[in-house]
Amino acid sequence: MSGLLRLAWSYLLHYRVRSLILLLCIFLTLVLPISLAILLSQFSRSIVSRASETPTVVGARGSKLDLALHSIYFSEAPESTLPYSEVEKLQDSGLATAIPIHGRFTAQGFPVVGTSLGYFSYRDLKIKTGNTLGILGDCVIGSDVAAKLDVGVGGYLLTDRGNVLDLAGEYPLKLKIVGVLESSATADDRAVFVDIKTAWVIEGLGHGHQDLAKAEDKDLLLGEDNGKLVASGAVLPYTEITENNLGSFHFHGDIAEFPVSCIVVSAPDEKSATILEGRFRNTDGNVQMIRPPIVIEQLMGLVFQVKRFFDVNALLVALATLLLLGLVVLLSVRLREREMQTMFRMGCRRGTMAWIQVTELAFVFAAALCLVAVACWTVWYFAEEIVQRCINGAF
Amino acid sequence: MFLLSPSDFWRIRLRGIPCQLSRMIEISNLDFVYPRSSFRLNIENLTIAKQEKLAIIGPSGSGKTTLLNLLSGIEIPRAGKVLIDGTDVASLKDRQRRDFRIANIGFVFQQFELLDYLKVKDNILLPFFINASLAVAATDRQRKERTLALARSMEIEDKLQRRPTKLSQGEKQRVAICRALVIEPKLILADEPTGNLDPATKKKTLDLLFEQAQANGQTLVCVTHDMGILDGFDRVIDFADFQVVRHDANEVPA
Repeated sequence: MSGLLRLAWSYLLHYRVRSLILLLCIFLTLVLPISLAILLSQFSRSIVSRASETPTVVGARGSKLDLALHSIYFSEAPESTLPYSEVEKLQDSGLATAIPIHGRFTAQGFPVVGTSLGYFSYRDLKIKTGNTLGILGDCVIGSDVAAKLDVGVGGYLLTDRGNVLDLAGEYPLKLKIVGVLESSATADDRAVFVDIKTAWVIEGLGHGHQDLAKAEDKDLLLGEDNGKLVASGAVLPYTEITENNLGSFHFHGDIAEFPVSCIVVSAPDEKSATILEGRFRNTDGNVQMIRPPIVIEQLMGLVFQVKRFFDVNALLVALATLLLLGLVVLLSVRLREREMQTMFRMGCRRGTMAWIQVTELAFVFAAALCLVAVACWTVWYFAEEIVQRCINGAF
Repeated sequence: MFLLSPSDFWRIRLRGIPCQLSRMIEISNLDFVYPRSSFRLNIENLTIAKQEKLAIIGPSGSGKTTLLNLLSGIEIPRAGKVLIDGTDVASLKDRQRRDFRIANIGFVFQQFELLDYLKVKDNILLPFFINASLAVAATDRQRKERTLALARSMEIEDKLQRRPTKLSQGEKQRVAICRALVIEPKLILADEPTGNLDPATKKKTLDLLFEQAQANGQTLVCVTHDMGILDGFDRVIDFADFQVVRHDANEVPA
């Protein structure tokens, strides 16, 4: 190691706390805006790409953004739901295929998406192992769910209770895993797919229990009403759907009125989509049709506007850091005047003394830049996951 | 203002080192002033022989340190000549002067001026770090051997891996002496080398310095306030009354 490098290195090592603080200042000044830019770029890419694959969505009136995010990322479902009859209406129009999505529940932290088999072909999702949805109570899980929960075909997932205080509400349902999807690097990797009817069972709209007509325990019955048996609260619904109890599962009420949180509309062409959009604009009902790419574009416009403020802020912070660095160097020169004077008396050039200080700063900058590179690479590597987690509200 | 008159130096010449001795330093008609200062130093004639051990005493502000700066080329006289081993230091260009200084002159300071962030070993090797031409002149191994030999002779061999902050004052000054000697200079300039040492350490440190200077045939010019250390010097010049207060001709090599 050359003499100057050795002197610079020894100085930095000896005053390591001082050097570390300097290094951290430079590191933080650079890493924050760069990481933000990486994440934002990934967010933009990810959300725009997913939105463009979901050109049209129908949902209850309310926040367009909430509806768009729910339809593409299974984020928290909008407050209002649609009746299933809207799905049938869309199908009957002959202008598009309607794919219902009911995503109000979670299973071990992952969103449970009640849908139809059409969803898999619409998203071009491939089954990696196992089969697609067969019967009530089956589920197909995304690759991330399988990896994170370490479960696979033949395993089970328990849905999370929505409200522990609501005794009449949703009971946890044990879902049987019948298939695992191939990774698609989208929100589908982090979802648990069930048939829409299974979703209604989770919601408590359908259930299965023992045959009350053959029940020996008379406490299970309250009486009869127009020839129908009225069960007491002692009758507990099944929390798992098996081949043996599948037949006992039934729904109370009109399925046409059962809720869906949104409908993904797969129109064969732009013309059909436009006609449908026109029809929905002309209705005064509680239904709206949105174009997620446009909603997301508006969102991104807002996000990038905010980012411009961050950029200006980062620039000012960088400037402040540079000024502070200048101050530190000036103070350091003053503090080390005696040392410099000694070196000068011994025959050291003033230029050499300046070089020693420049080398010290260069070491700190180089170390900070290396750290920035590592940190940014890490952020870039995990950007997709971080963005997905942010969108899914996992953070 | 401090002025050495011709008569003062006449006395010095009379009682000083005989001119036929081999000369390390020759000063003639020197005139120096600091900018924006009333201080003035005039030396008509002063000769210091090779291997001589010269002490300069005198009150503060009498020009002792200024003389060291002139000898080392840190300050340039307004008029007159300063020859170091035949080289007119003032005539050299700035860079040449620095190279000359680092190659030929070893400094010992009152405050030791060791760098806390370097180990003792690296403090001794400092001249090599700050001057590339010196570093080229000696191999790494030679430098290390020289450092070790000096440290051994100064009895700080076991302190080489320590930081200066962990050393006693005497040890620090011995490290500073090693640093001055590691380049094997022709001339050693010591500015109050014992100013921060207790009497016992003072004697030991000076003895070691003399021993080394003697062994390597080096000339020593030492500025001091300390009248108790003058015994070991060949000649003592008092800047207060411009007298050579002691001269032991037998100690001066022919």
